[in-house]
Amino acid sequence: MNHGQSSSQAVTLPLSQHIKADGSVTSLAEYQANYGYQGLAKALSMSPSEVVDWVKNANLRGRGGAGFSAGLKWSFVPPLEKLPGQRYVICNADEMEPGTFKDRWLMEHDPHQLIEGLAIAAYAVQADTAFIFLRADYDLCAERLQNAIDEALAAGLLGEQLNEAGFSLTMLMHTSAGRYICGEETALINSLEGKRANPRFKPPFPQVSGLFGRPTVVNNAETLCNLPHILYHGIDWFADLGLGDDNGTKIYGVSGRVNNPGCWELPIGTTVADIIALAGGMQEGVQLRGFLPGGGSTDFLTRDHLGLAMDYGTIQAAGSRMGTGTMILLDDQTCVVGMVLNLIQFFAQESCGWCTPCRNGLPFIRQILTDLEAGLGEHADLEQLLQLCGYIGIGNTFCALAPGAAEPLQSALKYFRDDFVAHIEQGCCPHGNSPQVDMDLEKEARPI
Amino acid sequence: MNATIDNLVTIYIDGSAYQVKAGGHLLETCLGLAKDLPYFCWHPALGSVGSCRQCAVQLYQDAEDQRGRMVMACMTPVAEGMRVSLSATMASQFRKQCIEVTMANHPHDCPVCEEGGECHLQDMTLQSGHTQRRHKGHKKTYHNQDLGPCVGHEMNRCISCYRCVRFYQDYAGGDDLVVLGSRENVYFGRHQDGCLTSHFSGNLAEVCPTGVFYDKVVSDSYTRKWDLQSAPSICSHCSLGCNVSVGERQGQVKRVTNRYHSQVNGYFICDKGRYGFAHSNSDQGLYQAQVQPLGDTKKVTCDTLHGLDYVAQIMNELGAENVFGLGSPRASVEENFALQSVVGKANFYAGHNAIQDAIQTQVLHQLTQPDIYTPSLKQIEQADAIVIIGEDLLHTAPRMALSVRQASRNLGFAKAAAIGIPKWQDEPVRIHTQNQLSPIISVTSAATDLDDISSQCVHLAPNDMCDFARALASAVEGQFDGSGLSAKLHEQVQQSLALLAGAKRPLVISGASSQSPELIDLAAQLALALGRQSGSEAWLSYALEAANSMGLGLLNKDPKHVGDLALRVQQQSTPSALIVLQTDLFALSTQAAALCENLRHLVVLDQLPSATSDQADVVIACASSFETEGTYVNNEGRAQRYFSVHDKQSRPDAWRSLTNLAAMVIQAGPCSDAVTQLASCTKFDDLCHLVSQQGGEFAHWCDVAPSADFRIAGMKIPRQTHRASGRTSLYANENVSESKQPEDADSALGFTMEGTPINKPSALIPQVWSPGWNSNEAINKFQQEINGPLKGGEAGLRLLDISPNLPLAAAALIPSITIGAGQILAHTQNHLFASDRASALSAALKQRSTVISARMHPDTAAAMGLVDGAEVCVALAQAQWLLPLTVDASMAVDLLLLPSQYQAPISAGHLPAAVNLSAVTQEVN
Amino acid sequence: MTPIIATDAAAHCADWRLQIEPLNVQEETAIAAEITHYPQPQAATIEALKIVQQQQGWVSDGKIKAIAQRLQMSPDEVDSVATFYNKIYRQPVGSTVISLCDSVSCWIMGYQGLAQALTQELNIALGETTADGAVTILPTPCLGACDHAPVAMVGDQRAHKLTPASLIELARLAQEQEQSL
Ligand SMILES: Cc1cc2nc3c(=O)[nH]c(=O)nc-3n(C[C@H](O)[C@H](O)[C@H](O)COP(=O)(O)O)c2cc1C
Ligand code: SF4
Ligand code: FES
Repeated sequence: MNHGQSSSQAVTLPLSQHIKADGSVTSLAEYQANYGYQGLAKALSMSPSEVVDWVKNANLRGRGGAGFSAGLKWSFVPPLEKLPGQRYVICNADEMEPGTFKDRWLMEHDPHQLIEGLAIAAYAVQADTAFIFLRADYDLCAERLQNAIDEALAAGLLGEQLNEAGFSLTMLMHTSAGRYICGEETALINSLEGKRANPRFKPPFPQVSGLFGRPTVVNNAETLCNLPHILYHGIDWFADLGLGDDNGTKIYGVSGRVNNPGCWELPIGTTVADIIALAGGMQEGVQLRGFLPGGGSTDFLTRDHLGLAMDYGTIQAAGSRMGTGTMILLDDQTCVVGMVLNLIQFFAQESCGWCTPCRNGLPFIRQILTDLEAGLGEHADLEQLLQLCGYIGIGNTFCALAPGAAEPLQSALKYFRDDFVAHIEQGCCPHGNSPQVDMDLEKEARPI
Repeated sequence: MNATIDNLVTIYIDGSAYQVKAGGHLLETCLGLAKDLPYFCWHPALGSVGSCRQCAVQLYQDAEDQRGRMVMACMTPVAEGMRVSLSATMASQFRKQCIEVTMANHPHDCPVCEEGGECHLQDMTLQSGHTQRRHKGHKKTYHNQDLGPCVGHEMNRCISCYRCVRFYQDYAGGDDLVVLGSRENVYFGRHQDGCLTSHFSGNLAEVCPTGVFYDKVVSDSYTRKWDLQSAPSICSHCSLGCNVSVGERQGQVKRVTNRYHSQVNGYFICDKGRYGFAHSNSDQGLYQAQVQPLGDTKKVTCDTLHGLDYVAQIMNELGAENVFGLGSPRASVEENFALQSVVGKANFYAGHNAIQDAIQTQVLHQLTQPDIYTPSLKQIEQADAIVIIGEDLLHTAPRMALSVRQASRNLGFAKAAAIGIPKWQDEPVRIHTQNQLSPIISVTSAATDLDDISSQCVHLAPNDMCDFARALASAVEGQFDGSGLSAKLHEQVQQSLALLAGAKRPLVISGASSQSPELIDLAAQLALALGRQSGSEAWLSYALEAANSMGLGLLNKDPKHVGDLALRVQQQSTPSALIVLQTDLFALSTQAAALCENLRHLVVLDQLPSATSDQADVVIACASSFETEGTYVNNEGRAQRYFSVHDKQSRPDAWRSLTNLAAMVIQAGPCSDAVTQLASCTKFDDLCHLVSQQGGEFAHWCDVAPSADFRIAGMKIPRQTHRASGRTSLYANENVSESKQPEDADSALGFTMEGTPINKPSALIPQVWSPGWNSNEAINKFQQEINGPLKGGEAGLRLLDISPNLPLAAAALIPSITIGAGQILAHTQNHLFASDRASALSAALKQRSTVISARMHPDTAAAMGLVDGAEVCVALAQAQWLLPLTVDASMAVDLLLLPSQYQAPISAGHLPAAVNLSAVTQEVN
Repeated sequence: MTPIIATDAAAHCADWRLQIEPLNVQEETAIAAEITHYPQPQAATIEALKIVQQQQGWVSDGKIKAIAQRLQMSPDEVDSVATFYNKIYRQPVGSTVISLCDSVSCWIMGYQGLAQALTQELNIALGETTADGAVTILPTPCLGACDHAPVAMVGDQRAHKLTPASLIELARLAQEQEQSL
């Protein structure tokens, strides 16, 4: 197999190459001027299974959080000969993980890149319909993506008869009605069916029985954005981009009290310290204490981990997860208990309400943390919190939402236990926070 | 250990090896092995969804693995060599934590909770070991909805197991009870307050593991569950014979609940069965005998023996040959048999009109054909294609409709199985199969509530239904001749044919409400044709008119009905008397008045008054089915016995009155052997013995249920729970010393709490209880395997299986109806609730009966110059009925549907008939 | 003549179809277009709710029933979906909804101060609407603009790096806009 064009050495930051400083959107012409849609053309000239193998060999790992190989995932879709009929691909652009804003950045600025990637994925699994499941509040993305779809359709890049074999593709936008759980791929599928977004049990996996009971592939937006480049430049090129074991680049982000929060495309495996440096370092007068490496559902790491490479294996070995690769920084002026309470409140509120540990366990934890933050805690609470983290842990719940919620809490108790103890012993929050969550349980702060 | 033998696998639970059935999941397997493992969201009939996480167990890779991982038992298929632990610390700690967080918001209002004392949540809480509350926050409070007269709502008690909506929506097909909201604010209720519309809503009280959905009628006159005195009974409201448990306190029936029978009702009954018991307590009932001596103008009350003595005198006076008996499809086999013995076979008539009699004869004829099999309700769930013809099942045989709904999922189960999803994986099966359902063809005269699962709905007038059935049967046989059929009917037949093509286990359902003996026959022809096509025996099921239609039919094989009786009485030169058992002649036939005119004496044995008892000169009040024992034979020919729940009877058993009558007749002089034998019956078992002497399908009558001498460890089976309270104080206002316990010579059930609560024979289980299991979930401990037969074997006897080739008379020919000018064919529109004498006395059901109107297709209405909502006058013979007209586009044309209502001037028994129909132009005062 | 046996079933089982607030032409057209994207009309439930909300500002009981009828569902089934999602409002909201991000990055960067300032300024609590119907404040989970924290959506515009003063200014603008209508 030809592993790609050789003229590609120059491109090292493919995903962001079109992103303009003024924030304007890349037009179809601009996109096409720079090998735009040629990755798709390449794919369409190959057989679908060749495309699957190509991406499998590139070892493109899912950028949605779990890091599962995209090509491998596709290969679980039964071949058309074995299971004829409708199949779907879905772009997961629900991005609601606290601290995460990378997919928005890509879609807002370069919508065609996603559309091309999604079309490649659709071709690989022989889906004739592709959905972009976009989070509710991304109005600008919605507008720009829809325009881009229309442009591509008008230019014959989507639609009927895209190659000699007669491959056709309809691409549809679905804007969510707002729930973090919609990002979980099976909940997303339920939501696309117009239902409540409760996750589904696996097996069967969506690749076998997904949307409307048909084979379905769900990929993160950033994952899909990589495809045009992998197809165009080839596997070796992609492998060379990464610094460590992982291939390609990654959109990393930083938020919190830094001088220049934002996101950047960098070779996968760039160190934490280098990424924070790009963010301009900490604001004046504040010190870094720790960070959540990849969004609100990853374990805290500390200053001791600044030298680590941000890749799947290294961060995992350190006891956390690379997740979405967008980190949230904890500084010395911010109360750890308050920060964890804020996260738990988020997860409790976004629980779908299906399984007991999450639905009732998270509010239980929230109650204890609220009391702690208000200075009403007891030493026994810390033990109970740890127990509860175990209770909502991996394998115990129906989906990964609650285990994700446990991660910042359990690691905060590990690294910043003194802060919790201080709350108990001083009978108040040392940072002077009053608990921000005094949820009136009978009246929700939103009109339902 | 052996590898897989015959579908069995070996698994290890906490170190011990067990041989268990392959294909199931760990939770049901553990429960089947009598292990205690808590659960909420799983239900044996609803399958697994894995939401409550309460059934966690530890699963090990192999013998070396010491750590294992936690899995939900209900979601884990059993596999050969599997090693699990229920007692492992991680899993048991997790189960305890689940309860702890679940109970954070629970109101702990157990003392006032309807579920108190039989609460699955209480049982599971104790079982998990959670006893200390650590949660410090406030509890939530919810608004409760008004869900109508049957089901109460107390959301604060909710533990969010999702069982209610899974039963209501997924299992029973309801669309007006849902889960609202999300996170910890999930709310199980309706879009707005209002009456739940499902005919199965009452099951929510049993499905809900706590007291959120409760039986409002029970709550309105509340009794603690352990104070209820209960008896095993059979529902008397339709022909399916659902097993129920009846509970009473101080002489009042307080509630009816489902009683598990794996082949009949399983875990669920309909709302009529649950809420239709008020007739037994009603102050409108008959409680005393009444006699009106010749020449007097008023009846006077007397005691029953006096009343019977009066009847004996009549019989002596007129001579036995001039006394007739009219049996009832609503009375037990024993009661009908006793009456038949008193008057003699030749003078015994069925409480049927000509059509009903012909139908019953036809039904017996078809169901005893060698190639035809009539399935149980459970077996109906296995059919992979169903043709329902002429029956609105949700109104005439509701529990069967629920089975049909389950059968409609078979295509989906097969599709899911093809990708390795077992049937019990409820959500994956539903998701994978989406809206695909097994073919159900519904042929009725108007839209029904099963249309949502029907692949084809055909709305036809009764005659066209016959044409359709005939054409489809011949089409299935490959001899389709479409000539004579309308183009539309032709196309409909073709469509059905295509739908049925691949069926391997087809089933035809028809029944009495078509009021067409011909259709009963054609349904059988269709079933036979489909059976031949699929290479299996023909499956055929009929919904019959009443609880004991089949029993009466078997006693009356040489069929004689009211019309025959009227003719005979008219031709008699000597004066005659008629003894009527639990039947209202006036609702049965337009000839009733003429018949009564020709009688010297009319004797009525009944529990409720009627136009007939008003006319009678002797009325013998008799026990309701809750107050006596007897046997009903259901639509599949299954004889099932029910027992009295009461210790103090305010009115005697009908069968006893008849044996007493026989004894009095003997005293007066020589009489038939039948009377002599009947007179010698002093106990119910004696009567059963006499029934069995008829031989044939009755030969094993004494085996229908254990006899009154049955004992466990020398003791009777207690109707009371072993923690019944206030035994001494209950009647303290009458007598302070503890009175002797009432005797029951007629059954093996006792009226005390003494005796064993377990190991009871299946027919004699008044209520289920097992140590640690106070709720109805204790049924797990009574089953041979989960969802399987009870440990004592299935109760009841399938009579038609015993004696397949009955000598039967041919069904009488029913003359076709001629429609005159200005007339229209009127048929009955069945209504489940409050449409008959007994259930009309239930206040809750009365509120749920629909507004009454006549229905008609818009084209037919237009042709007759009528509009929707117009008041119309329907006239048949002497009777006239004013009611509003509803125009219904789903209906067949040239047909008028009249509601079945008790005391309606034109009742179901008078139809079908050609009626005169006119618009009421002026206000009638 | 026997009188018609009257029942109060009607009171208990009121026909919901009588309480429908019919869809307007725009709603009907937009929903019809969405239905074509799916194999079953029910799959368009969420879109239908969003379409109605776009037109009406919120989704009333009457509109729930209209959607139910259009998609061949029961109102209960539609409401089950509607009440699941954060962005379907089942109560009226102000002309401008200020969705104030309360998630972690914005919390670190000053969400609490913003919430306090705004609720004080408008004299309403979170989740409430000003008396003039101009503004509703809803705390909202992470808006995916953590690099500009603290942020809010004011209507469909995202506002970055808010301070109490700049947020109050935006609320004032919204109120003025309402008055000028
Ligand atoms: C609670 C929860 C929320 C999630 N949210 C998102 C999300 O917003 N976007 C996303 O791409 N993946 C999200 N995921 C991960 C998806 O389930 C899924 O793994 C991912 O879309 C697969 O894409 P990938 O293989 O390309 O990474 C979420 C997972 C969970 C458990
Ligand atoms: S962990 Fe359970 S309740 Fe929480 S979001 Fe997942 S399925 Fe829903
Ligand atoms: S019974 Fe197994 S998870 Fe509920």
